[in-house]
Amino acid sequence: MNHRTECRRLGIPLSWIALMILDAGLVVMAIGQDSRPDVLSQDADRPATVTQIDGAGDQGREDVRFEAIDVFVDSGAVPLAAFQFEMQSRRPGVEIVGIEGGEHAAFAEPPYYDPRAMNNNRVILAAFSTADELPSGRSRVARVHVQFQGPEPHKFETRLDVSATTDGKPIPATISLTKATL
Amino acid sequence: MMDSPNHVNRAKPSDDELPEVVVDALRQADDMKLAVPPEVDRTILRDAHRHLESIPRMARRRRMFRTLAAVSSVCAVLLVVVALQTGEPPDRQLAQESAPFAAPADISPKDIDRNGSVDILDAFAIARQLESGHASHHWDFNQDGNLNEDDIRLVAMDAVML
Repeated sequence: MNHRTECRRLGIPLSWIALMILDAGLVVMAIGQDSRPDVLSQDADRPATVTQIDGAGDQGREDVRFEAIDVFVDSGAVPLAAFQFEMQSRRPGVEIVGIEGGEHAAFAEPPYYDPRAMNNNRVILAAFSTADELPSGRSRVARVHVQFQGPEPHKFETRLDVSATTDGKPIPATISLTKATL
Repeated sequence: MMDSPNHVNRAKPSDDELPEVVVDALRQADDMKLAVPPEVDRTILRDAHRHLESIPRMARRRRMFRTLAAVSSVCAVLLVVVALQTGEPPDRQLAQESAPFAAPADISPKDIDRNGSVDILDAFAIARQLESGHASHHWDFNQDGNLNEDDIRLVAMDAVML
């Protein structure tokens, strides 16, 4: 018994079956469209990483000291062409006093930052490069000079908002801070 | 042609009249009393009942499928409309670069990729287009008549503004 005969036996017009199959196809297409990964929205839920910079036990409460903090971005095997991150101290008594570029020639120049970040405890740093040679893997992209007051350790929150490769497409990457050894 | 001896010679009927032989036969048949056996009667009646009972069932089934088809069509159309309105074009970059100022008023002209915020990717996009020689004059943000690093810097500084 063919489909047409079966449909007639059940009293269902073949055109309705065709319409419902078309509907199902449209629904699948719509759901597929909705579930398409939106690569540009990944920044919104990127968690902040917290890094503690050790204090100096022999330092007085009113004394200040200067430290350099290295910022590393690890883009894995993909070349890193652009990044943007925000860095903030959780406690007062921290002032950003200088910003340097990274270790790779593509990011050797100091990244972009708002001058108001100086003598502040928060900064947004960003840079890009159109060079042919770009860093991949874990690479130091900036060095931030900081003035600390008091002997206590300080915690920094860092959130990598943008990491992209040569065509401007976002790539997965991680950010980390370490106290620089000068 | 000669008529056969058995042939009854009758007047030839006109085109719109039946032959008299047929008319006679029909008259005789009309006079006969046809006796339909009760068994045949009951069988016909039973079949008729069965057929008539199946009609509402079929009608219900047809109505159900018609409703299902209509509802699924409406749902599918709604889903497609919602998906089209919320979905992004496949190549946002090209769409944006071909019409950089076609964005709604609440989107900054410096938001080149129109992701809702000005970030370093916007400056990077201009830099890449500048290098490839396809930069749009709409990106001359400092309005000095030249699209150069100063315009890129303006976008980048917007991205890192506290």
